Amino acid sequence: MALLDASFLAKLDRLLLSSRRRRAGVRVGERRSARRGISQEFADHRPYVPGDDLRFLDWHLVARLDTLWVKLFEEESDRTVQILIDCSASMAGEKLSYARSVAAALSWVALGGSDRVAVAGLNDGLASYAPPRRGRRNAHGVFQSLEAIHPGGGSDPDRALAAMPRHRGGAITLLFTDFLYPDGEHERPLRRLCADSAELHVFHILAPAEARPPLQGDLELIDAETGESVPLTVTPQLLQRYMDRLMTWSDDIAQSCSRLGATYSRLLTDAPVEDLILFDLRRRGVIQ
Amino acid sequence: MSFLAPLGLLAGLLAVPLIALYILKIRRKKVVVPSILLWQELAQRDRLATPFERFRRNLLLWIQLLLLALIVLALARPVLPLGPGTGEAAVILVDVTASMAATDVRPNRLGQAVSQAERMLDSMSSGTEAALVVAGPRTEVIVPYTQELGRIRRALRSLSAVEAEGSLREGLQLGVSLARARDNAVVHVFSDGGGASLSDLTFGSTPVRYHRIGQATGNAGIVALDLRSSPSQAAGRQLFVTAQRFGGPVEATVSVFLDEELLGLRNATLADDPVSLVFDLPSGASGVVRAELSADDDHLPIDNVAWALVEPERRRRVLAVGTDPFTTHALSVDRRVALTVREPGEVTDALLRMSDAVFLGTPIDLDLDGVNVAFLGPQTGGPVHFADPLPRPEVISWRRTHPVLRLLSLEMVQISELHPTLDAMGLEPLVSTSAGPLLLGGERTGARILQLSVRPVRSDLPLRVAWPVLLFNAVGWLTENAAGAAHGHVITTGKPWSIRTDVEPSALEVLGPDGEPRPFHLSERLLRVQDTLDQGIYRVRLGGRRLAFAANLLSPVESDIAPRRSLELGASATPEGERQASISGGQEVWRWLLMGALLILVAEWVVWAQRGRL
Repeated sequence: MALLDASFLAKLDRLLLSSRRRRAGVRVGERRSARRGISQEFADHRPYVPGDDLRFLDWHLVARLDTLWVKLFEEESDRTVQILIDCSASMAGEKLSYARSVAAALSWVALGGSDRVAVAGLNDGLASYAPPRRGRRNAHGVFQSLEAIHPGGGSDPDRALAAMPRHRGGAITLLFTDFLYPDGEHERPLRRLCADSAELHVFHILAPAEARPPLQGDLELIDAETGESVPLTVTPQLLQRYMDRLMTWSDDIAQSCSRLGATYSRLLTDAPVEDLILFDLRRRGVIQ
Repeated sequence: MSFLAPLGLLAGLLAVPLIALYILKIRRKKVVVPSILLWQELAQRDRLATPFERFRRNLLLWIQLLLLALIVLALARPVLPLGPGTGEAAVILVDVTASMAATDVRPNRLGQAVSQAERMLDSMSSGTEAALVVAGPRTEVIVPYTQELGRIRRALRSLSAVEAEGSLREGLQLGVSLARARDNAVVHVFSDGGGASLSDLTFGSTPVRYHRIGQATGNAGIVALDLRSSPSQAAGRQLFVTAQRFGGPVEATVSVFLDEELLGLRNATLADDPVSLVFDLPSGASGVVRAELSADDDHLPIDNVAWALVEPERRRRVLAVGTDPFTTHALSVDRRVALTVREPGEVTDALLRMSDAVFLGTPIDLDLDGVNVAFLGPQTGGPVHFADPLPRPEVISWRRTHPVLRLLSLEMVQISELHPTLDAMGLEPLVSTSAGPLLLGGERTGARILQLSVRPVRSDLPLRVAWPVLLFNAVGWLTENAAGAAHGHVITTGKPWSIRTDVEPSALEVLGPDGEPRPFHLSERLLRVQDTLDQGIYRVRLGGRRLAFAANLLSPVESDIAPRRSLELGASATPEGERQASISGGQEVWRWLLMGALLILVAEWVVWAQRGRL
């Protein structure tokens, strides 16, 4: 497994993607449905994981097997988790690699929770799309879909999202992007995603070189996506102004996410993926 | 701060192309970034600030501009004024000798010195004490220590350069003694540094600061003037005009006028060595002779003219008393001389007084005051006190330039015995031997005196060719002031002129070259005129008799107007560098500026290297 090693995957086994909304699925799953009360018919058992409602423990099996099992009912539905990765030219390099690694970890968690996972690469259109897969037996395919995403092209999130297939009942959307869109507009695509998704988790990918650019002197900065350039004499004062602007800009994005009910995580690519998944995202409630 | 080469500041215009290069060609390094979304906004704000905003942040440009500024300043040769510091008293010593009349600076060197001294006074804080001393032929304190600096300013403005030779020596000695009267006083010397060497002067810890005045070094001048009998004409004279050029050769013309009538004109190339030009005067000529020199690139006018007075030559009345036959014969063959030979007992006071010179081979019992006398051997009643004789002394040296020793060789003179001098009584030795002076000479109470320390017959002098030549020269020198003498009544400016006279003071009058009366001093029948600082003809009325004499600068020291870079005061004797003041008008700082420029250059290299790593 190129994206994640086996020991890390083992640590992910006991995690689940959180679900804050009640939405209907198309098949039996492990999430609580918004259609509560329609059916209480027993469907299956599954091993207990911390956080499960103790009311659903099957005490007979506990007495008989000495292990904890919970009962699943028919009205509990499955979910589609769609992983959207911005693969425009601005994401080239460590940002895209980091996004793929985090996405792989979260898809492993989602597949472990019997969710269906779809993967899409977005640039100025729908660069790639892998339809939803279910079960960890398909994890390899999901990972291959992630690895098949390559950087290139510009950014047109509106056009790319318009080309995305819709999922009935809405999906849990994990968006990995740097928000470096040529028109600077980030709220419109977020609003669209929120409308189409049951839940939206936004991962804002930043490279250290963007947070603290190692630039100085008379420079001509060339945009990796558009090829446009801007002449600048970079001084420590100008760098400080840039970093202040960067913080304001990312705070704006965070506030937009908050208004729309999405979670926002700013990911610096020099932070270890393992720490991010096991601690940061759990703390933020993205996984449990 | 002032600049010695202000035109060097024009090099500052190089800043224009330097800045233009930065405007026209800024080499920007291309860097690919994920997006210029955030940078664009900053760049727009950056451009709106000011078009020259980026220069404010361009360290390399500022370093180069600083480097250029330092080099430009160094080219202009800035001078920091060495004015008195807080609490310092100042002794202002101004050189007023003839070379300070040079016009290489405006209005002349003295005017420049006064301006600089006034600027220094302006920079002094109130309550500071200052004194003013002038150094020239005479040194005097013009204004003693005072806090009224206005008095010193007024005195400075009233100064004028004299037409006479002088030295800073006495001025420095006086200035330093004044400075020692205060705890923290500095002697400020405003001068071109001309005159005799001062390296033997030591002033301890008293600071002396030299404000150099003047720039030009080139000047031609008449450095000697001599009127002699013509060897070819019985009653004719020859005028010897000696001219010299300092600071490189130049073509010059010397003209000679007799009572404003042109007598002759010579062209000559003047250089470092003096050139003598001879002009024949008509037989029996009388009047005022004026020599004029004209040359290009000449900065001191007053040394281009010299005067002499010509009277119809008459024979000098010489009295020989008790002289040996060799001497008597040598004097008798001199056709300038009307010789009277007497034995000691035959000499009367009247005969003495009517003689222009007396040669004494034997002592006489008469008052010789005011009589030009050559004592031929130690004599009772002579001017010099002698010790017991020493045998066979050898001649060591003699003053070849003295008129009495002109054209003489005294090598291998044999002397049987010589009386060493106990007290020369103010006479100076002209010929020195291993046992003491052989010949002394000098002036006393208006008369000239020669003293031989051995009787001529006690040596082989009378048998030598030198003897008649020595006597010929002695007659000429002793009778120089006599009426009708060939030399032309010439003195150098600043030196006193004197003559013996029986006329009452009320019947005496001395007029200077400007026609104004001049002070004189009459004591024991000796008339002395001391105020002879102006060049030209001085006219003297002695009752019904009218005389004149000429005062000329005739000074190679003053004609050499090249300003000294340093006063070189006792360099080896004093550790304080301050006393070695050697700066024109203050402290030149161009070396420090260039050193700073070198450091800036290193800094520029470091900055450039750092930028190259980005």
